[in-house]
Amino acid sequence: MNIQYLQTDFLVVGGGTAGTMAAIKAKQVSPESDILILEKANIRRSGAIAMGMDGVNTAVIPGNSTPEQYTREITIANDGILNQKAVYETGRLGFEVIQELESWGVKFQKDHEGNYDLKQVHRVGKYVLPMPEGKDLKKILARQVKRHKVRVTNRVMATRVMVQDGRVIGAVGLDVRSGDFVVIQAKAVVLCTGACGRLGLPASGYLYGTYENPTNAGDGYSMAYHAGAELTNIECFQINPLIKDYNGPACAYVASPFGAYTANAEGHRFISCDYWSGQMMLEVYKELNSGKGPVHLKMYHLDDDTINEIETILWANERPSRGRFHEGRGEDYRTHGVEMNISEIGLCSGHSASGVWVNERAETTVPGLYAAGDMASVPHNYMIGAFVYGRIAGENAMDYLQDLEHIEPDADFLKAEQERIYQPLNQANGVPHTQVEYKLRRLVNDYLQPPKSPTKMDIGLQKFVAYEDTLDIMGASDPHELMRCMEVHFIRDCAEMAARASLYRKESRWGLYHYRLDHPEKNNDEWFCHVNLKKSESGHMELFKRAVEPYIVDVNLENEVYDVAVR
Amino acid sequence: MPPLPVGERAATTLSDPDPLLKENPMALTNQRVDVPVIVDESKCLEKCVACIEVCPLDVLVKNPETGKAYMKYDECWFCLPCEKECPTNAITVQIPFLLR
Repeated sequence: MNIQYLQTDFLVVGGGTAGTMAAIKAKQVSPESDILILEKANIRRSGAIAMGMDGVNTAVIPGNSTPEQYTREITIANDGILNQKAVYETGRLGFEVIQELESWGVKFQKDHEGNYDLKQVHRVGKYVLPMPEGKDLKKILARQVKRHKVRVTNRVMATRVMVQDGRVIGAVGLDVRSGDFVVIQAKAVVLCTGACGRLGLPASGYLYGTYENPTNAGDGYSMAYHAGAELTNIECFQINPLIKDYNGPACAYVASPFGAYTANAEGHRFISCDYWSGQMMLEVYKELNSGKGPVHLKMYHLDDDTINEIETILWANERPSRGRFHEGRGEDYRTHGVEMNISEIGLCSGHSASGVWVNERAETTVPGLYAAGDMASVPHNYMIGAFVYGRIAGENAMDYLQDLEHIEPDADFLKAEQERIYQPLNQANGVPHTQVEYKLRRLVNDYLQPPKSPTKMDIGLQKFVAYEDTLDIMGASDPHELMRCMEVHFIRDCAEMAARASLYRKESRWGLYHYRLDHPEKNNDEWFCHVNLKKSESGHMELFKRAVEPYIVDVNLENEVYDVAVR
Repeated sequence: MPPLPVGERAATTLSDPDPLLKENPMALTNQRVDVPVIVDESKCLEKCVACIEVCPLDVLVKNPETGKAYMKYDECWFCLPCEKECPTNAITVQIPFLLR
């Protein structure tokens, strides 16, 4: 095994939406600094938008909405638990992001007068901006990374962030092709590794048949935790209404502005709003359990031209294999509803609220460690939020690291981490990562899928803790398998966090995301707060309440309850 | 080797023989699976690595004997960059059997 030593001023872990923007913005404010993106895949096609995106979901465009209105909408949708200042930034800076993307060649839909053609998908405001030609978004970002002279190291997966003298000093990782151990010294690090998309097991049983890009295994959640950073609202799971079996979006965000809607088996509406929220998911759950299921995305009442247009968008962007999935089953939007199901659980602030705690400056609680995108705790942040927080992290990190020097990594730490990573190679006939991961994720389904029961979650927690020993019997025969083994470590950490946080919050909130059968009601008197967790000095997972920051936009949560049921 | 018909290609039959199997043949088994990424070897270019470079899951490799790409690891998100970026249209991505 070889060791590669790298050094950079600012290390960006993960070259997806947030990561590419963080690197570009860091270069723009400090062209002389060295910026390195570390990517486990290849930035040309990596992360959540590997195959582009069909629209912006949180676009605050002047003349259409204001950051205040957007903050209010998300405050209500997230049942009041959020740092409003952080959400406000997404609203305030999103338009600049859109303008900059446009200057790079990204096309957004405009009406015949040249105005942005915004659509309403949220409960109140218009924040959805279609981008029917968004399929090459990632290629465009990769080109800008190159133009800005950012260094990129593809096919290296970070495994741990290094912290010494009370600040971040770099990260270590594994070259997933050569098997090299990679040590990167950096003055600041931003984690942009996406969601934990491989937490629950898809109903299909296929480990990689996930909603999220399955490269996103909760790497950043786990690395931030071991670096000592706080994580928040982990009990607010990501659960999505997805195409049954295919497990991707159907996608109501694209189709509902054309007149499509989510319907029960009788073809009737049962939700008034297709925007993804825990409250909406609870209505889907109730409908499926009421005898009126299955539920489907209904388009067969639309005219042929409209359906052609929807197909053109859905079969070219985000998850373009949707078309061949339907075709293989002989199903057509003109004659069939798209059967929907409730997904397995994941962690993703982009859609819900579970993430590494960050403030409105993208700072975690560890000096020099930033987080952005789906893994950082700004709720309902979606793609524009990832760009905005990539930018914020990049700019602030360059300010922070100005007068800092590199610190030599601790030799004992490096030795211990090497042993941890390469241990499966010593026992290549150990249990394959596929089986170890399958069982872990099946246990996540068995014990954590809502509705949540305390006794079940206790059993699950014990199993996830005991699974530390199971990780030790994994075997691998090449660097690729080692990568998967390390990902199982990330997933196990996320499972334990998910169980502990869900047990800690003794109320129900966020609809299905945290629906506890023993505490079915919201309890603002005791639980109007964040549930945060971190690794204690003694190495144990410690949970505590963190107060919600005073609001900067007035919202009366007693009067404005998020309710999307059709009665 | 002529290309196998769709659905009959086993991921594990092309991989290098595992020395461990000789040491401890009872510990592991080679399981035949239907893999999503099908490569038409008559079109695949020996010197091209376009599909291998763009795959997010890094599941494609070259068969050292033939220089043709194949799916070594059954870990596919059916996301299609391999198919889209192949200069000779040698790749077809099927929806994985369990989801199909």
